[in-house]
Amino acid sequence: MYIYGMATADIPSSISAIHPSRRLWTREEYYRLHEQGYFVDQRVELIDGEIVLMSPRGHKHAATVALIIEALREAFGNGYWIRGQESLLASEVSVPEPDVAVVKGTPRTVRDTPATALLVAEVSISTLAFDLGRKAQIYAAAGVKDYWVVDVPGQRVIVHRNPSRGKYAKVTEHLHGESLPLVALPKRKVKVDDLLL
Amino acid sequence: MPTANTSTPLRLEDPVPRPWTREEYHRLQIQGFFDGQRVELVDGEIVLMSAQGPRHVRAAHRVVKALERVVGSGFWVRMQAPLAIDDADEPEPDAAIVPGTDEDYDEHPTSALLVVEVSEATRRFDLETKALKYAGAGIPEYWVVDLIAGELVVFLQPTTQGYLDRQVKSYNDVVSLSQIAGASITVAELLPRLQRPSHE
Repeated sequence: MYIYGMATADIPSSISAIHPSRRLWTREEYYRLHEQGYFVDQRVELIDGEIVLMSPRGHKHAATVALIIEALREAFGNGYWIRGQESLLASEVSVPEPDVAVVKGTPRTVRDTPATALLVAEVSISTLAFDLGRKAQIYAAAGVKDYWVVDVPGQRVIVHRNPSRGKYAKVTEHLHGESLPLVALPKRKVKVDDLLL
Repeated sequence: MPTANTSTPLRLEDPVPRPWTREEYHRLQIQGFFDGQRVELVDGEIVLMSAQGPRHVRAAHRVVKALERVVGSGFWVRMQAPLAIDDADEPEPDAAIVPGTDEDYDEHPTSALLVVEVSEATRRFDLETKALKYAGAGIPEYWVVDLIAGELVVFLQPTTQGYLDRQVKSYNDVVSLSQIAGASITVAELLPRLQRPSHE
């Protein structure tokens, strides 16, 4: 029974701590917003239903992305599309724009924005917690079998493998001098040295 | 529609939500994005208003009735209607008193003589975030009808830092409306009657 004047201490903290929830967006709504022109001159991503601003990119970021694209193009060879900063339809509520994503096929043969990728790489300058956290969950759930976080300040590559139930079962750290085999083409390797400035 | 709890503090590296302006918020409304949803614009974020329990509905109804009775003509008591307080905020308080009648308003009012929120699940948000908002908008008097404690919290003297005066009134106290001469209400009138004792 409800009693007026109930001592504050008796109120479950779950009640007094409730804050309103953000109104989240579906992928379909997100595209409608794009079409209506809400994001002109803005770089946004849809992450777990939230529309977030992408952090501005500096030179180090751009240069590292270019290095990764070059290294992956060489490692994968013909028949693979190395996409730079394009959308991935990861789920109904997430449309991230990974820095690099590799899909099978060519710009002529791939029919639609891909829902997954053979490999995704993110360059982390100031977004490490986000890239290792929520982004990793999203890519794992989308079935990306090879997810690399190129940590520029840390001078290392954090490789995520074996996605299962929205998580990567195997996360390993690689430093200068090491080579990373590709999950999609196990005989081909990429040198960590080639990914870092 | 999935929801996210915003009570978790943002970590430094978390991405920044894309803020919305009031003008965009209105366009989204017209374009039907919020059909069937109760939303508010708070600090540039579009938030879902919590579902109203029966006690909340009863209290909001009582507040509006009581205010209408004491303010007389010359004032419009708005129920759960938008207040366009600034470019990034358009809350919908449970009640707000504005001067004049509905005919005087082609647009949502930008201020009010009194704003009232009925608080159950959103108590802390109403007592903290909303109080700061309404004070910043220069709203001279703000009430939180606290259904959990069974009392009324009266905020007066708005500044950009919040209200300077905060008084807690209990069930039998009488409260005068600072902006409307001669208007006063007993706190008991605002609270839904307690459950009858059960007979076992």
